[in-house]
Amino acid sequence: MPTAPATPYRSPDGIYDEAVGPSGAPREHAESLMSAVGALAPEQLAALGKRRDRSFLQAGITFDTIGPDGQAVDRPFPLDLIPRIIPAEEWSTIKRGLAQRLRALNQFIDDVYHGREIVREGLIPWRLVVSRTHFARPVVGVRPPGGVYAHVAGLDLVRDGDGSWRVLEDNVRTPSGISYVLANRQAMTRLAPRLFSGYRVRPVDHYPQVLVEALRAVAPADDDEATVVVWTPGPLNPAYFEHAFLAHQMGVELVQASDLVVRGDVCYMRTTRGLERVHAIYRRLDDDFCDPLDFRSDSVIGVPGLVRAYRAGTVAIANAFGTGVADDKAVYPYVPDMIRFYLGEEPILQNVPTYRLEDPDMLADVLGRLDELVVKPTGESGGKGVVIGPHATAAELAEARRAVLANPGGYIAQEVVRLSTVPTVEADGRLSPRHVDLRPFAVFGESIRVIPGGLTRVAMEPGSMVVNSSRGGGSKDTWVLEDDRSDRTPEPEHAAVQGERLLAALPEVRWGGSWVGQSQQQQQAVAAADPPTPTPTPTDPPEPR
Amino acid sequence: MLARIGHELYWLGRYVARADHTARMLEGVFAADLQGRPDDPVGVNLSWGPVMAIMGADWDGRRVDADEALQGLMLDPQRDASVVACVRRARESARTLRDVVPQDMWEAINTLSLELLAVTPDGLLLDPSGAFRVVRERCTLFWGLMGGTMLRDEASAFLAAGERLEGASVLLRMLRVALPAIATASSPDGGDIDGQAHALLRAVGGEQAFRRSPSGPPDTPHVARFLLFERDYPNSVAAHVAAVHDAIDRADVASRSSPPVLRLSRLTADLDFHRRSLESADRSVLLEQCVTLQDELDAVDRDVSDRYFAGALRPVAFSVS
Repeated sequence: MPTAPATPYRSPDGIYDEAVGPSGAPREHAESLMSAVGALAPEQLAALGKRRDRSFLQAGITFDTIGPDGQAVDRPFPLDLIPRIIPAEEWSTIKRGLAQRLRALNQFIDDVYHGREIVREGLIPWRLVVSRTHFARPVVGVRPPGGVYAHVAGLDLVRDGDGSWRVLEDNVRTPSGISYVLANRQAMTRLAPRLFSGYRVRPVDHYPQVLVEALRAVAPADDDEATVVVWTPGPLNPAYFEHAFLAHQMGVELVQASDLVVRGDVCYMRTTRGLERVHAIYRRLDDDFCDPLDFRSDSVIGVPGLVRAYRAGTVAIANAFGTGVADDKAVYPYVPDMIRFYLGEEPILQNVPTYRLEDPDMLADVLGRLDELVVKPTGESGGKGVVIGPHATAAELAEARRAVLANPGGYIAQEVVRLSTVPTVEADGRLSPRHVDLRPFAVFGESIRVIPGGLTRVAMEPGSMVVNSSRGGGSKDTWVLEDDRSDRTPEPEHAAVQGERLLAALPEVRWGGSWVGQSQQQQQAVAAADPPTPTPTPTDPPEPR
Repeated sequence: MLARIGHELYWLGRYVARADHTARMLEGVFAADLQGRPDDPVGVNLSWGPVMAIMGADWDGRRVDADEALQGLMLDPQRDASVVACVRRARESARTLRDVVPQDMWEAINTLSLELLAVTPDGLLLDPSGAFRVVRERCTLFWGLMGGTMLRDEASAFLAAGERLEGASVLLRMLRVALPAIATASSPDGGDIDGQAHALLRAVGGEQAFRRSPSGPPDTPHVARFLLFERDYPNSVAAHVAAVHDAIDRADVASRSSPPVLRLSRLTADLDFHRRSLESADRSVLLEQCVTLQDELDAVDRDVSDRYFAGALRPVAFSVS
């Protein structure tokens, strides 16, 4: 049997590791996993990694990165082979926290475009809301079917040094990554089924079904089944794999702008049988590009008149226009207040401590210790423009200081979270700790449903905290365990038929039948000439038949 | 054509189809079984015990281990229902038929047989997906070659008849096991346990086809009706029955007076009628349908043997240990 890796896995000091405790012993939920992994030699793990890359390339689960020579290269999606485990009780907190936060954000969006109660209450300045780049004037006063704005949400969660979960970012525009959650799980069941032994992991593959049900639930179709489509900017989009994957899995059409047309107040798609009414659009592009009449007039990938149809209530758009106002980083510090205001509850998941820089006192404080904080521009996503103080050079800090001073309202500062670590396989097959975050996905239709787990992103450089896949980050399969893993459901549904045979045996040909019996006789000719005693006479060879 | 050759072709088709369907079912159940009960009630697993029952083994309702089921149904040569046994018998048939079956098709089966022999029990448990893929790809190759290279004569007709009859029969067995499981469970219309349907769809590889068809939500009655009556889906009972009918009709010079052809015509019409008449039927009605259909298919099998294979080789029940 292969021996355990030469150097046992240790977590770095002062950082919360999710698989092993401070003593180096595996945490209870990770015991079987760590021993299953320990039974694999580094070479075996490395070989498994090669198989994984090959199968991802074959299946076309890739994304483009810019190689060292400046050329775009197709790389297999980087899945790490060691899964991340979330015990059931932790997950139930996360799930409730996510649902709570999503309810509050949805109410906030509704409020912003209608009564502005929260502004009149003085909890959030109107000036701040209306100056967000994603505030959508064309949809003020429009309430989408069902009152749901944020149909799909992906919130970024991190674990602090003490292991507590915190929300780092909200994303209620077009969060991506769910296809990788599904693809990762499928790859893990194929590549490393042995790691699952001893665990009952909650499946994730019903997501497309949940999504299409949610979209049908909000679609304004009065007669029969609603027509749902997925709208992609096109095959050149970096997330095209995901768009195609979701459309395929949901069994709906994947459309581009040229396939959609608005006549009067109704949206149609062009089919081989003429125009066909579309009831719900799951769009995967920004507000700005959706309709050249109401948003950016230079958009060539938009559908003219779509906002008109939306306003008329004949088509549901997921996520609704204008949701970007809720996931803006300058609005983020107000989310706990929103939860208290709209729901009358205390937030289940806490924010990371955040400073708003338009406040002069806070600005001065932040500028004084810029090298200890993270500075983020408010309107960006995907890690663009983020400066991590402790890791930044003097020049980067000076540049950040200049930018913040020029436009304090365009930035926020956050305390650095010492992200938790999880064992990760290196290129040579050894395990070492890497920092991770988690993006769980929630779908809001008739009710809120959270998909167990989510996309765990891993920083592949030692010590690095940058997990974005566009910047070399990897991913992990995320396992949410069932409540009690020893208690496998028996099969009570079959209790009634215990002891009796359900079905007759499979039909077979009768092997002793007359024709088949010939086969024995066919060989008897040989047997007679060639008796079983091992003394064949060379002078008397069997007759060739 | 010799009756003996027709008979061999018919069973060659059945065994290749059986190996194919079994491997697909095992793959679907394996993937579902690795994971736990779903968070949302749309995916209860079709677990190993019912699979053993589908394959005709004695199963007393106890929990069956994944390793045990996988080993038994993939690699156990003693077990008539195992993939290895099916492939071995298909290979024997194909060897007898080497003058009839195109060389490429013989090679596909022979290669599959050799590849399966190279799979060790440990290797299977370590990487089952590799073994599933081998079976799936070789069987697909076999049928593809049949479509692309074989003369449309009696020989291909009997091969196709065997293939499609087996397809229908496996599907009905799966439905008969999956349907009562849900009907007798606590909640009457399966609200919280209605995922067996989903697992079933996955096990026959029909998930995407179901979603693209206007068949309604993926609950058990809808899935069962889809798998029984939807002629546009090639792996439905209705499509299989129609294909068997077409094949035998082609092979028989006097098809108008042929008992199996007449029986199949009636069955095709019945299925088409039930597609509409059972639009809102519940599980017990559908289950009854499955039993009736399976009886009819057994009768077709007998008729085929009587008429074409001189009645010498009626299928008899073999006990599967």
